[in-house]
Amino acid sequence: MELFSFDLYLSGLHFFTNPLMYVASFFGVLVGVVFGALPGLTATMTIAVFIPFTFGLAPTISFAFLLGLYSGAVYGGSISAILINIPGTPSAIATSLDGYPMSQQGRAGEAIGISTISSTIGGFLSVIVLMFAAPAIASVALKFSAEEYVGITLIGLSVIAIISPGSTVKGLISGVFGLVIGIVGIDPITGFPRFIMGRAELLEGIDSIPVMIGMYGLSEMLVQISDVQYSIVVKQKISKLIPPLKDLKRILGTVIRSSFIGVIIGALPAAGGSIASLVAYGQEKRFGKRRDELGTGIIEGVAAPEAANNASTGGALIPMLTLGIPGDAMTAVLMGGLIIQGLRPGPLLFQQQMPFVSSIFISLLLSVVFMCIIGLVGAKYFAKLIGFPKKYLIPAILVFCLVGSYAISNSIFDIWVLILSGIVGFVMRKLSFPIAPIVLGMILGPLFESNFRRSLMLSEGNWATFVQRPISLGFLIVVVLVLVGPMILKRFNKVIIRGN
Amino acid sequence: MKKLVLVALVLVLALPVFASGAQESAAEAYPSRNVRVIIPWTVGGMTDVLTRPVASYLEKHFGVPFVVENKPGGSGVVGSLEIENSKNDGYVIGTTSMSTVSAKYVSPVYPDIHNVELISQVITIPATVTVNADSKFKTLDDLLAYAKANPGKVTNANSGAGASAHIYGVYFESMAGIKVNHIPYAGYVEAVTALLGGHVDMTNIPLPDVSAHIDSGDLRLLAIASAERHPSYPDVPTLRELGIEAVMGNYSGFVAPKGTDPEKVRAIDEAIGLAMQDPALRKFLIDAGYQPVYLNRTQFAEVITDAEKQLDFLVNDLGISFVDD
Repeated sequence: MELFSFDLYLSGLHFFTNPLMYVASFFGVLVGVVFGALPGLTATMTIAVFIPFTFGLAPTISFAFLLGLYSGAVYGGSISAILINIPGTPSAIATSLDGYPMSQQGRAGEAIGISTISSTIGGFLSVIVLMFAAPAIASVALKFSAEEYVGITLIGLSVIAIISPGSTVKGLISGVFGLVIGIVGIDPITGFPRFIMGRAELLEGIDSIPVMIGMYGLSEMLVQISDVQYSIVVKQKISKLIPPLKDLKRILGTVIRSSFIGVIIGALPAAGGSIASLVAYGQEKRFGKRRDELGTGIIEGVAAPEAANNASTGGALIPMLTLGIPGDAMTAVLMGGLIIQGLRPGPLLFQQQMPFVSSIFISLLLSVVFMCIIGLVGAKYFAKLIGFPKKYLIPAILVFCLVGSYAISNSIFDIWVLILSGIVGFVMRKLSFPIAPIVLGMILGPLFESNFRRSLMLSEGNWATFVQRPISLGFLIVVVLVLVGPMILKRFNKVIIRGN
Repeated sequence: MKKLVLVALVLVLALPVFASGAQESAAEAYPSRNVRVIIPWTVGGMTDVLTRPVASYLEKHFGVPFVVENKPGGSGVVGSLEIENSKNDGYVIGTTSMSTVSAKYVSPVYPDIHNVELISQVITIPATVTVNADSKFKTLDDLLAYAKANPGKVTNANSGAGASAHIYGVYFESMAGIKVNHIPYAGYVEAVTALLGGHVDMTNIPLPDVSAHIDSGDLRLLAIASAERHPSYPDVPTLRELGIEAVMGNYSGFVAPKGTDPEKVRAIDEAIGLAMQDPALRKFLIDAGYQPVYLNRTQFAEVITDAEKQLDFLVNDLGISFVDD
């Protein structure tokens, strides 16, 4: 594959003069932000719902719209995470950790502003990487076999220990609970049905989306209803909507680091935004200047996951466009859209469809610009939404939770999953168990298990395979450092203090 | 004045009643309103991609909307059951694939292909024998010779234990008389990725999911498991030509709820037959890696009987337990 050809960039320049591209992209982002922000309507679902409407459009216009939807929905997920502590999409789980405390301090507008700017920078960097390094990154991603995925998922799982505010033990209990839920369904390796209790719905396992909506959405509403301060609404300062230069300087390092994490993890098939934002948050907790304040509502805690999840959008497009392999569930749906348009995503797309590939770059750039504008202009109105009386807000959100859970696979069963998770989530919150590790355990557990067992099958039972492969070994070292690093550091400090 | 408006309003509201009554009496014109096309799989999936262009051809042909509805869930069980339980007035049709037949080995509740009326088959999706372009196996004979000398050493990527590509793999293994190491992945995409990255030796994954990489020169197609060679790869032999009696792969076709008027089924069948002769549609399907094969309901029934026999052989003689993908 030719790495560099200017035709790739020049052949599509005329699309810049096509007003329809702008219109399609703008509406895509707008609809995406709204759907992404509604709890229960995930980015994947948004694309799946709107894709049939684009079949009649020219491929370039339809993708301007769809990529707008994609960026918009991933960004929009952060709005509800910040405002009401319900991540609109799984990739915004980490955003709620600092975003919601900020809005409880009356700084919702500021948090949305930071999220907008970080998402914009993350999105922009990922387009640049996609434009200039897509084939190279794709070939690196192919080098990742099951062993390397074991390493990545382990890093993700180790973050559970870090992000649990308060008791680490409670965080781990939640994490294990999530792992246990993830076991239900067909065994990924032998095909044996586990804990399905004779129900067809459980064959594919328990979907993490209704559990997430229940644990976050439903239980948060229950907590608010049961709260004595039910009628008290946090007064929102509508200031700092456009982040001041000082704040931008403060988060710049975080945003750039997180963006690169986002692009790389996004480019790995089967990883995607939710893991990317988590790993970015985890590294902020480890290396960030203000790591001790994370979780209390600081802007770095919003910037890191938001830069990473929007950077992962461009990242996830890399394997889709260059290899025909979707990087996550959203790009899988997008790829279906490409095929229906008669285009074959894959190695030949860059050579045979240069103008189209070029138009994809332009669409992504447009979507980043519109996302920034809509986010900054809209922040004021979004922040005002929480000022809405709770007696109207809570029922409305509950309805969205129910509809969203049903819509994932048009299944009433998922509504029961939602309600049960809501009640379990409520009890766990009252006992101050963290929620995030449950959802993370559910998402990462099956990935870890299948890749772990697959590694051993590929190596014919040789356990050394995990340390014999250099990249895998590197990941394992990171995991060990994350888990035992703090303990050793503590002891080390004690020794020094005693020595003094 | 008020009364007049009210009367007018009542008339306007009542008009559709007469209109639809009129339609019913002129029963000859079928279809005269929206036809629902239920796809038991997701948007952008294999069946979806091929069904939509056929549906839009039918739309043009009949001049009424053919509304495509995706009803995924339970690996096609949910949507297939919905087709079975829909009204058999000719205004609901749906799609079927081998999953509908294999579901009974997989799921506690499952559809039955004998509970629907077959309309026609539109494509076959042939399984393949595919290796990485850098592989030392240049021909199928190379692969077989190595596999016979080193039983269990060749790794074969499939789409999950008991899922379609695993079934093809086991069938191929038994028909070729070799032993391979089956490595399950989450789906076709993940398995193809592993093959591209050189982490496994071969796969039996069907053509649509490997064709782009074969064309780009990253993967090599050693053989195809269809009855005839594929129009896009006239130089690649079929397994049968190479002496391995394995014709395997998926198919997709249209069905209607049980008891749908045979005349209506015939009307749709004929239109699908015309659609499958449409050069643009054929090119689209071939380019996507499918093999367009129009078969009428009788021939389609034979294909399904063969599939049932093959699955039966796999379950009872080879002892495989299925899952769906």
